[in-house]
Amino acid sequence: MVAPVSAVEPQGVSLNDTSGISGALSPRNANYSIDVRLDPEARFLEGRQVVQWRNIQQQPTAELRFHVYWNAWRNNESTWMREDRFRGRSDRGEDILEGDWSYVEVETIRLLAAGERPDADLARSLRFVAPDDGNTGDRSVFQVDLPEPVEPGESIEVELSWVAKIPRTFARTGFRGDFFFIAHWFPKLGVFEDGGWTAPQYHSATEYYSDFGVYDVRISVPTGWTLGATGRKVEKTDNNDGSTTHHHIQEDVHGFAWTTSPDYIEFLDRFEAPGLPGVDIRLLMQPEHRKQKDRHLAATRAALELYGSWYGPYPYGHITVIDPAYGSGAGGMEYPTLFTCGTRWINPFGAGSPEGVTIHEAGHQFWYGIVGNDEFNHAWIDEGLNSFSDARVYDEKFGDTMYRKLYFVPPGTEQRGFFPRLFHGFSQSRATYGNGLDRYRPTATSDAPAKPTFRYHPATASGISYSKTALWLHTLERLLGWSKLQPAMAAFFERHKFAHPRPADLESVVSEYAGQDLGWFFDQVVGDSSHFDYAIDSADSFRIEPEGYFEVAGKPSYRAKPETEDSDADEGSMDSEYRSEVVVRRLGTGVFPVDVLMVFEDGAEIRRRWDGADRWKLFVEEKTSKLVSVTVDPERVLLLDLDYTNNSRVLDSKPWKPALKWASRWMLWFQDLMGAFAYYV
Amino acid sequence: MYSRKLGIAEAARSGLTATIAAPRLLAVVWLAGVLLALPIAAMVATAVASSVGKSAVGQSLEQGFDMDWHGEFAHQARGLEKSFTPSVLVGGGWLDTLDVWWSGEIFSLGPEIVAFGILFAFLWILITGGILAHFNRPGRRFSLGSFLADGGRLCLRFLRLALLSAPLYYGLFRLARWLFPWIERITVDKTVERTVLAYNLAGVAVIVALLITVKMVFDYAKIAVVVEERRSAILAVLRGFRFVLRRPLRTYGMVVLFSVLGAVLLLIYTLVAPGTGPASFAGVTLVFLLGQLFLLARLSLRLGLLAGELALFRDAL
Ligand SMILES: [Zn+2]
Repeated sequence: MVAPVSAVEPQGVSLNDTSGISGALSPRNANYSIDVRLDPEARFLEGRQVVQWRNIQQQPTAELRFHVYWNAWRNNESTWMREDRFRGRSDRGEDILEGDWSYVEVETIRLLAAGERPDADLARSLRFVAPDDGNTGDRSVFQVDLPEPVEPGESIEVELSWVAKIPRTFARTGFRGDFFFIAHWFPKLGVFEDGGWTAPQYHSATEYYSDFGVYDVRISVPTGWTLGATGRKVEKTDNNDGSTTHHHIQEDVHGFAWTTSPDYIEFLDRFEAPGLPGVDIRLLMQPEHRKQKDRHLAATRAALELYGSWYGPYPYGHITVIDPAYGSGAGGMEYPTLFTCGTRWINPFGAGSPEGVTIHEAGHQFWYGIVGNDEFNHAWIDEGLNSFSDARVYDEKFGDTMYRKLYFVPPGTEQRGFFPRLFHGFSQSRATYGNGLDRYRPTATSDAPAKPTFRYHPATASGISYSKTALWLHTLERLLGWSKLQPAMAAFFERHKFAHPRPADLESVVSEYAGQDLGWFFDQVVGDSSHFDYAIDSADSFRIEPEGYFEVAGKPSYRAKPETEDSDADEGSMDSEYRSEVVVRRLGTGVFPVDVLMVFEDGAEIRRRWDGADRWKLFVEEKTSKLVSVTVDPERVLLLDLDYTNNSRVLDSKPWKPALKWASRWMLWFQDLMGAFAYYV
Repeated sequence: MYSRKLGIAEAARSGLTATIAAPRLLAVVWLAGVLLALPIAAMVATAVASSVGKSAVGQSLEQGFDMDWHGEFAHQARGLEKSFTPSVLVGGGWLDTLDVWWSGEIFSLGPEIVAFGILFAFLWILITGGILAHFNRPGRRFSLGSFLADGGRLCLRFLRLALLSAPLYYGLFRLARWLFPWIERITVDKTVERTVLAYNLAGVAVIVALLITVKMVFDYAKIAVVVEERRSAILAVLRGFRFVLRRPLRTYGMVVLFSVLGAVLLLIYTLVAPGTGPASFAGVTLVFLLGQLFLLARLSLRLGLLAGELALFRDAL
């Protein structure tokens, strides 16, 4: 049963006040008590759950909306499947077999009697709704009507029983062989806010949104199988029927995921760092990855340490790290107090895996887990803040990554290559690769982030949610300094932990800590699909050679063009003056203040600030030395600049030298390749 | 009455000896490849130069590589430029070539690359006639005139052979595109990567064995055309097929032997091939020459195998 929570809050008390519950970190207004049994042969779940929900809004509601995510893979007419096909990904092509689809069937749903409120069967009012696209074939959200409204502060309990057919993995949940990863599996309430339910349908490019609560879950799986789940294990009971029930409880989270397999090997570790609470780490690995144990643990600890010190401590005291089975598709996903990484049998250190994904998913404990924004509508908040942060952690702990290519891709399949090769010398920095500039570039003008994420073009959604946000946050870091951005993000974390912040909340806290109104910046990077590109349009430096009539003693006096034969000798001499003219252009639609740095032959540097607003600006300098090079935004503050090559100009440049160097190497490959063509004749 | 049959090692040695004894032949064949590749490489050089322009990026590209620049370049790359990726820029990109060679993915590299590949294949048909005729000639004195004349004389017959082999290769790569998805389906519930890899490697073994077989049959068919002055392509293929079928140990053995030699060569080259440096003109030239030396050595092995196969064929007459 649900942990006891005071049923009805007295009127006049702040509904977000959790002081009545000892030790509560969150409102705990959506609490789930679930009993679930896995049938591994039939690949079915059978569940019974009691949801205790408290209305923490100021408006009453007489209806409830539940997500039933697994109905997204019930057939190809669901909104998820339609969108997946539309974006051209189509997970497993046309080869979805009968056993691969999934569904959830709610068998009973009752309102439990409490106080004056009588018991009521809600099943008759159950109907599927499609608030986002009106797709009548979509069964990912259902609504039930309550006999009487739930008033502000009032609680109700709803009991459901259901069966679910487990999918062959879609969206990181499902089975492969006897490996099961079970996420977003039970009928789950949406979020009641602003007088209505935020419970969008399941979309192929977006994730989830739920209220915080207590999860008390009993999971029965075959005896001898390892179970990993959200929360801490409180009990394990052998049912003497070949199954064992694992009882897990977790407070102050907004979801619950679990996994089971006979193959996992378990490693226990503990995270300790000065000033931060300790965390027990439980790592469940595939046996063939056991040698990568320490890499997974190091990355998890790195995230707990740096996110903890930058934003706020990880409060749960335990975390479960899952290394999913090969090909299961379950890797790289976050759930409360549990996350999945993902590695390969052969995976040399240096290219970012599995450290990067481990840091990212561990980091989601902070951005998503603790700060629980609406991922349907504002996915960029958690994904963007987290991408920015994971790249920062990786850089701090492991440095640059290097280019990697996976070889031996079985032709005609969706598989990735089995044999990685790292290319030393082809290094990739945090600022560009870590933040995902190459993923952002093709999506730059696709959608404004302010639009609800599930309405983004699904093919370009991640480039915006993850990479654009990471890039503009890093741009802010370079503009304001980490000493200002870090406290701002920490304040955002502190103010909105165990709550549902919105974009404006982030903007206001960053502006507050920056000591300036950053509306001009947020309007462009969040409110609009502005793209940025500053470029040196032209750069010239020449000796000033007066010619024509000049005033001498108040009268026009003719001065002829100086002789040019000994111009070389004159060069650099004190009396020759050079005029250097540089035109900087704004090629993008976005405006950002930039520095223009001019470097002269005598080593002198002149830096000019430009507000970057006009379409172009001329910079003129007169010096005794010639201009050597000029760069707009020399520190690359504006990481959203789509073309940085055009940001600099070297007056005496020899582009043929790098071209010769690299094209001659390309030619060696090309000759080899031509030899391969000749093999066939 | 019965003389001892030529062994694999002897045939291989005689093939290699014949190749080394014909430096001018090697040079001509090598040069043909270089001459075709040069203008195409010049196009890529122009693309790189125009992308770099007068940017300071040129300096970082000269010293090493610049992945940030490459990201921008790749975003705008069209046609041939798309093949300009880090993996082909070190060590001659042989792993990239190997990866597309066995799988037939080479034909998915883009229309420009495939068009040049087909052009080069035609050139190779012309060259092969000259090579085999040279190795078949008593005394083996090389002259460019007879090399070209032989190539011209045999090219139509070799072209017919190539047209006969094309559907076989096509079928083979279709088979691969059926086989690997099938393997994916039968391993769909395997949770251990090594197991899945083992299945796939078995698939590769099948495809590569068939690839080698087709190649060998048609090599011996060409040899039969040259040695026996055959005109019928179909009969020559049958002759090649029978030849391989009756001497599987020696025919396959020789291919394996030359593959091992090729692998050793690759290993050496991989060890000495530089990374992203050096920047100087002399250094760049040296890297290029080293690469050419490797390609020349590869070519010697290729010609050596042909000459060795020819020796095996003549020995059986
Ligand atoms: Zn994420």
